[in-house]
Amino acid sequence: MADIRMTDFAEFTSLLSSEENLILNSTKDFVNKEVMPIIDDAFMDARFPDELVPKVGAMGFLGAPLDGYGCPGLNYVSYGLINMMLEAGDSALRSFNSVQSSLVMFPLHSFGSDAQKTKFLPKLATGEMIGCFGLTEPDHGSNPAGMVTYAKKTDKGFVLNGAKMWITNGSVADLAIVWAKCEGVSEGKNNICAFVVEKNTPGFSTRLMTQKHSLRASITSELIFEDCLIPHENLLPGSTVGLKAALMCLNSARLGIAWGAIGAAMACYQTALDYSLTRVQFHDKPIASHQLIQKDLVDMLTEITKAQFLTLQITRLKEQGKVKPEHISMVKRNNVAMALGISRTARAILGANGISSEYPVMRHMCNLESVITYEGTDNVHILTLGKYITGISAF
Amino acid sequence: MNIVVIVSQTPDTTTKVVLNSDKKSIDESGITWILNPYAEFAIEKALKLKEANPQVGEIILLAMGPERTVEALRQGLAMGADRAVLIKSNFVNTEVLAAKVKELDAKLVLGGKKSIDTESANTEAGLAARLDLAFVHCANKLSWEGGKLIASREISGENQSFVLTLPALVTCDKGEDEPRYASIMGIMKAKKKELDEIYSSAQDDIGIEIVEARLPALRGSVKIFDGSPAEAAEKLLKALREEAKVL
Ligand SMILES: Cc1cc2nc3c(=O)[nH]c(=O)nc-3n(C[C@H](O)[C@H](O)[C@H](O)COP(=O)(O)OP(=O)(O)OC[C@H]3O[C@@H](n4cnc5c(N)ncnc54)[C@H](O)[C@@H]3O)c2cc1C
Repeated sequence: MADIRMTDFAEFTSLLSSEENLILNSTKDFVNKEVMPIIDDAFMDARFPDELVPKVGAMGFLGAPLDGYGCPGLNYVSYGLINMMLEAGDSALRSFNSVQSSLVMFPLHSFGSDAQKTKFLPKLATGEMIGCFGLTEPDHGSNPAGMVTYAKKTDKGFVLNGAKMWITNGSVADLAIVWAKCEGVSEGKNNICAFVVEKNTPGFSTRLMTQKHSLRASITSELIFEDCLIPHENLLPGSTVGLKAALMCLNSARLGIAWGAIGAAMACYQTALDYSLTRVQFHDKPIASHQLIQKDLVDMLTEITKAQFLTLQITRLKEQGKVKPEHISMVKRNNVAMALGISRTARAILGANGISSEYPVMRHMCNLESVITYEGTDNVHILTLGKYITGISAF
Repeated sequence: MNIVVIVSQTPDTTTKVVLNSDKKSIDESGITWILNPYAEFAIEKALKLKEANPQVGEIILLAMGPERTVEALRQGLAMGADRAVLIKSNFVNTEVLAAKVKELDAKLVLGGKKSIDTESANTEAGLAARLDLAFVHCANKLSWEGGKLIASREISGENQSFVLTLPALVTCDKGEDEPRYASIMGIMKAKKKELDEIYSSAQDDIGIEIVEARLPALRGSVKIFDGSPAEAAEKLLKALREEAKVL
């Protein structure tokens, strides 16, 4: 499989600091040496390449934007660049990083007690521990406020009942951040707050979801809670503000996903460009010499370039504390749809080879079908932005 | 005892070279610059030598080049070197470099066996001559043995080992030392490390002028078939039949 490369038509990298450029290049080297040689087999075998976990930990990718507890405290642009290059490798690896960094370490860091932070964050940063984030339920996806999983406060602790579905890292996780309704404890409108549930807690089990056509190198699982008793100190104290705590986690993750999608798009574009320059059809000419193919390539490069600059600007707003959730909705939606479109076009440019696992495009295309659904579907982000523009909720 | 590593910056191997309209120089605007991979091997070897010998003091990176060379030095610092010096200049002059090496009190000077842009291997040899240092070219392995440095290299399938009494200068090949990544922690630490930038007033007086630059004639594209020998042969046959249509 060819090495991943940076697509940089309009000197996007000239807007990055020297540290940010170093991080970009170092992540690219890492992906080329450690990920590209194994990722295709992992995808075909539906295997999560867990041998990469300590390696991404040693690189310092996990919890990169957090400070202290063994985390490097990078800015969000750096976090974005890491995600971009990881996803140029495979969305599964970026998903692992998004969940661990933004959906597990971020809530522990922002809403956790000192004891929770000290116990979990350093090991999550090295990859010695893996976490997962349980929000979605079988009957509640886009509308998590309707969730039915609930926690009952008793003298001995909280008793959890319910089930979560489509949970990344679920079966390999040492701990789960679980969102549940808890009357009298949560101060939110929907009574939602979050708990840490550790592996092997009686009443907690997981079931691996197989038969996926997408994100095959990622673990997706069900989490099941049957009278699962967890200690009082496992409540994330800051999460009692309700669902908005979960949305803060998602906002951090979604920004990373927006960056990641650019990476997948770059990988597909570069593959299509290389292929079209070497594949000869009609008049002994490469297919890149045909106008229709050139238009496809030009559209791809234009969309990638636009996404890079928009995403950089919105991430700088985040660093300045000026970002709105709607900004993030715009880039998550735009970039993933853009990447999915590019992967489909790239797959077509490769002809029959487009469906072969010798090239990465169909793997990216299949992966992006999950990425466009999770962390707010395309529709949900449209409705979020629509409400912002018009002041009218159309959910 | 300090180790100085001579560092240079080269275009990324995937760079598409475009000439300027003067037909003498290369258009640098689209180039991604990287740390010369052979200098990277030298840095890795220096770090291993330091890890194995408490007598090694600092690993100091030294480069002579344009402003942008800072990026290559930062990468080396992020890998673990202690500090760096950049002599800002548009050309390399071994007299200036030699004076700096002396000032840095280096017992061992390492460098890459060549730079991947012009494939030249002049700087280190010139430096060794000026400083009158023992010189081994193309070492793929370096180790300590009772205070002496053992430098090994492969030559036409043969292994040669040199026992060096320091001071010495060695240029490095890759060998078995996979260069470590610049980790995030390393990059953050490198931010705080000393990077001296100094100007050189030396003149470019080596008497070479580029008269004309030309891109090499286009070669047909090369295709490499992977898989076992039997699989690769099968694919080759198929390509000869269906793509090249020569069978
Ligand atoms: C591989 C993978 C990994 C995942 N990982 C996690 C994880 O780690 N943690 C976690 O909690 N969840 C995870 N999810 C779940 C994901 O977040 C949900 O699938 C997503 O929120 C959508 O929910 P749903 O599948 O129930 O779809 P639904 O909400 O049922 O939506 C179905 C369709 O209806 C549309 N729709 C819904 N409501 C409206 C409306 N009001 N107006 C217009 N259209 C609407 C949606 O856009 C969608 O197209 C993962 C999903 C996948 C596929």
